[in-house]
Amino acid sequence: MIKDIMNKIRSDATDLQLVEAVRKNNNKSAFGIICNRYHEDVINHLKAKTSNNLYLKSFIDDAASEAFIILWESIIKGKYEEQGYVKAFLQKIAFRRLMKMSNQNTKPIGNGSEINDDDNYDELNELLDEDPINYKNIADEAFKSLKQICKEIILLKYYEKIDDTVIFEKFPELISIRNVSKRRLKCMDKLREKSNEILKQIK
Amino acid sequence: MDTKKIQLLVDNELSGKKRADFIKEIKDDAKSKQELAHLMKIKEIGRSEIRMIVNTSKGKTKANPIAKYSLASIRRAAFGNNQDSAVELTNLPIKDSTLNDFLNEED
Repeated sequence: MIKDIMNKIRSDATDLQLVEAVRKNNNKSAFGIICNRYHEDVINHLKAKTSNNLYLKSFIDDAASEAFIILWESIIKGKYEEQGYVKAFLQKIAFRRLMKMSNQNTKPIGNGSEINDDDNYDELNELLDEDPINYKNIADEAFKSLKQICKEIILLKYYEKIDDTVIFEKFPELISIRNVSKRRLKCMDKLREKSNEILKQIK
Repeated sequence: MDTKKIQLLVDNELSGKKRADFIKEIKDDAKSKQELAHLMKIKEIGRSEIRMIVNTSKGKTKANPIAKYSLASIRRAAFGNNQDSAVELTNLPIKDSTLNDFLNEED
């Protein structure tokens, strides 16, 4: 009951309340309200900053989407420290992302310095792309072969960083929190096993 | 293979020399690369769910009204200098009085 109330969020909630709802419960409705509220503003900001340059314009939609994803990840990882200044954060990230997309030569590569989340993601993808074995495709196939419950538990734990206690609330059929953790580890083992199978077939 | 450390790398929780050294280590270790691919795939799928929320909100935002015809095309249509344009005066979505006002306006 308490959880239901916490999950209900009004569309006129303040940015701070929305950010808190995402942080505490990974509340996707709250995040949806943030997206509704600022998507157009971010797009317009990018258009204005790029003076409607046709080349840059082609990256605007993607850059804006990436900015919202980075906002989501920053909040759920507890890294978001801008309090209520969501719009400014989104505009800043979206512009940085736009510049990076339009100028791929400015990538920072493992030079030992601090790196942004989005640059980190790109660099690790490049590390995998360099290998003659397509590990990304193998992982994709292996993940697809998992049972739905495994996919969901893995995503909740490893992407959304949700505790086993909360995962248990979503999957009471697992009977205990300990079982959630066991099941999660089993699911990851299944993923690895399947990947190994695919890899053997390739070799 | 150190899954926890790879997860830290994916989450961008490693920095400086630790990060650089670990990336070098992974480069030469097939098992670690495979695990990195798993964790990156999980991140990618998670991100695609969030992207869907963003895209749904995109549809809900009101588009800015954009004029169908530019002033230049109206001017060309009005003064018969429209060989390059398919815009015909009769096709313009404006009321006659507005067009008259526009045509009679002094530059």
